Amino acid sequence: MTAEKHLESDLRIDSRLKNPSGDLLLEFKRTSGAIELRGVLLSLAYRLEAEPASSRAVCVLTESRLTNERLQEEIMRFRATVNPALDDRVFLIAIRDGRAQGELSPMDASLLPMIIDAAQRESANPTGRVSQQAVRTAALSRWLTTRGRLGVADMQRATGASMPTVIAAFRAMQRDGLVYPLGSGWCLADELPWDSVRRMVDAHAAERRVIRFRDPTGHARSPMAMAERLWKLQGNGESPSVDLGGVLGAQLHYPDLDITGAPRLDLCIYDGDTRFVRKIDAGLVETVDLADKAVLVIHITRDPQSGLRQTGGMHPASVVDCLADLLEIGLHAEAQDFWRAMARRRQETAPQKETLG
Amino acid sequence: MTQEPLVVPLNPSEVLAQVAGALPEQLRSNVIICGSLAAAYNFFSGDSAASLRTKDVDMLFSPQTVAVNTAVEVTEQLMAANWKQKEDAVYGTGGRPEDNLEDLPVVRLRPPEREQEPAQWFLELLAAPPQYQVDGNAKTNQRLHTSAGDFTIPSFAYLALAEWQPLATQHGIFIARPEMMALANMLHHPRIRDDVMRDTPGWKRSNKDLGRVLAMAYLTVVRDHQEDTEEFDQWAQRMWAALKEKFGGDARRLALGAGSGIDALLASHDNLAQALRIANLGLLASLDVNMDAFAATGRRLQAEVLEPLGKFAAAD
Repeated sequence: MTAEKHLESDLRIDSRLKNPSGDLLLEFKRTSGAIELRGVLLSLAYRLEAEPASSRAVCVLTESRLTNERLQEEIMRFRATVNPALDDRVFLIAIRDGRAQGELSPMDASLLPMIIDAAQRESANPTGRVSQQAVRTAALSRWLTTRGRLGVADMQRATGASMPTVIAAFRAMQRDGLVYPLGSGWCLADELPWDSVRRMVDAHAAERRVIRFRDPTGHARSPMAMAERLWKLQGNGESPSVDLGGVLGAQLHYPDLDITGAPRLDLCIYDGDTRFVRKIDAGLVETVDLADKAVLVIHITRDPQSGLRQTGGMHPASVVDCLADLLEIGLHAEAQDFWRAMARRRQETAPQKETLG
Repeated sequence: MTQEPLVVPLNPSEVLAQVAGALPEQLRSNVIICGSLAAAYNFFSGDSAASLRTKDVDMLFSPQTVAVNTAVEVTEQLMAANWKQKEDAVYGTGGRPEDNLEDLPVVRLRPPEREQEPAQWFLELLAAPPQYQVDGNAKTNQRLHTSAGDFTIPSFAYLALAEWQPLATQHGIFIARPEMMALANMLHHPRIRDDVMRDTPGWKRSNKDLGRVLAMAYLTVVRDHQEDTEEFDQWAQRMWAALKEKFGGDARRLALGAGSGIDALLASHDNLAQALRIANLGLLASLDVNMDAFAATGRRLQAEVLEPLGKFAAAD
C-alpha cells in the first residue's frame, strides 16, 4: 500500500487516509501559536460531526516550536472541553526531523510513516498564500513572451493570487520598471535594464526553498548524466514536474550560451516532492553547509510558466529560474548574456498582445 | 585479544601472471579466478602501484564436467613445479584413498619461495557446481586422487554465477565478473550471521563478504566516473540474466531476496563500520574510503541495482 493510494485530497488543505478501522482525516498546520492550534482542533471536532463514528482526525504540526509537553497539555485541555465522545477521535502530533511527537490512535499507528512522509512533503511545499513576489516573477516571465498590456485579472488567474496582492505587485513592478500605467490598466515596458532584471531575479531567488546535495564519494555522475537519468524517469511517467534549471536549463533555452560545462545540476520542482533524487543518485546526501560542494541543487518554487511546459525531451525551468541559478553559481557575465539573448528573442518573436484586465 | 591479520600487499597483475604461468597452457581456459584477486585484477590491473592484501586466491575449474580432471592435472603440475600444500597440522598433507571425503584436505597450494622469501598467499582449488537443484546442497565435495594423496575439491551453488560470462585476461585465464561475485556474496549472506573469521579480532564473515560487495560497487562507480562508462547501470540486468541461466525457476525467488543482507548491513552502524574496516584493509586498501562514502555506495547499490533486479524478477 502506498500513501498516494490513500490520499484522496490535496494535502495542503486536508487529507484522508483510508484505514479498515475507519478513515483518518489529516490537517497539516505550520504554527507555533496555541490559539491557532486550538482553532484547528475545534475545526476537526466539527468536521468529525459529519463523518461516520469510526472516523478519526489528527492535527499534524510541521515546523512548530511548541514543545512535546505543550502538545500534551493542549490536547488534554481540548479533551477536557469537548464532548467526551471525541476523546479517542481527535489527536495531535508534531513532526520534527522526520519523527513524530504526540500520540495517534493505536488503530492508526501503522499509518505513521505515511503521515510523516506527507508532512515532510507538505513542509517542503512552498505553495499556500501566493505572494507579491510570485506575481512579479510570473510577470517577468510573461515579459519575455509578450508585449503590450498586462491585466490585473489575467495575472490573478495565472497565479491564483488575491486581488489586493496582484494590485500591490503591479505597484512594485512599476517601481522595478517592468510595467507602467496606461489608461486605467498596465502595460509591459519595452525595455528592461539588467540592473532591474537582476533585482527581480534576486528577489525571486530569495523566495525559493533550496535543498543542496553533496556526494560523499566524490564520484557522482556528471550533471548531464544525472539529467539524463531524470529524463529516463520522466519517460517512464515518473517525476513529471521536475524541470532543468541552471546551466543545462539555460542551454535548452539558449544553446549558444557560452558555458562549456555545468558545475552542478540545478532542478526546479513545484510540489515539494524530492523522492526522485534517490533515483537520480541514491548516494547523495542533503547538506546545509554552504562550504560543501553541491553536485545537485533542488529549488522548490512556484512555476511561473504555468501551463507552458512542453511535452517530450528535457524540460527547462523558467528563464527566471535559470537566471537565478546562474547568478547563484556565480556565472554573472553568462547570466547577463543569457538575459540579453532572451530579450533579443522577445524583440524578434513576442507578439503585441492586448490583455484585458 | 587477536590482532588484525597482517597480510603483505600483493600486486594483482603479478599474482595473476604467476598463477597463469604455472598452469598448463591448454588448461588455462578452464580456469576462472574468483574472489579478491579477481576483483583486484579487474579494477587495478592497469595500475602497477596498486596492491592487494589477501591470503588466498580462489581458482574455480569450469565447466563442471571437466572440473575434477582438470583440478587433478593442475595440482600435479603445480606440485611438480614445487608448489606445496599449505602448512597445517591436520590438512597439511594429502589423505588416503580410504579416508572419508569430508575428512580430506582441500587443495591449498603455496607458490615456491622467491629469493628465499616464502609466499604470503596460497591457491585454493574449487570446482564449478553441478546443475542447480532447488533443494540441493549449498556445498558439495568431490574427491581428487593425486600422486600426493587424496584431496577434496568443494563446490558452492552460488559460485555458478562466477561462470557467467567471465572476463578474459591477457594471461589466458578468466576472472569472474565483479557483479557476479557480488551477487554470489549477497545470496550467501541473506542476513548478518554471527560466525567469526579465524585469526581476526572478531570479524564476522558476513561483514567481510558483504563489505566486499560494497567495495566492488564503489570501485565500479569510480571507474564509471573516470572512464565515462555505465557499467554499474548494467549490473542489475546482468545479474537477472545470470540468475535465470544458472538457477532457472528459482531465479525469481533469489532475485527478490538478494538485497536482504545488504539491507541488514546498512541498517547496522557497527556491522557497516566493521565491513568498511575489512574492505579498507583489502580491496580498498589503496583508497581508504570513509564511512559516508561507503554508506552512500550501499544506497546506490540498493536503488540502482537491487531495486531494478527486484523489478525484473517481479515482472517475470
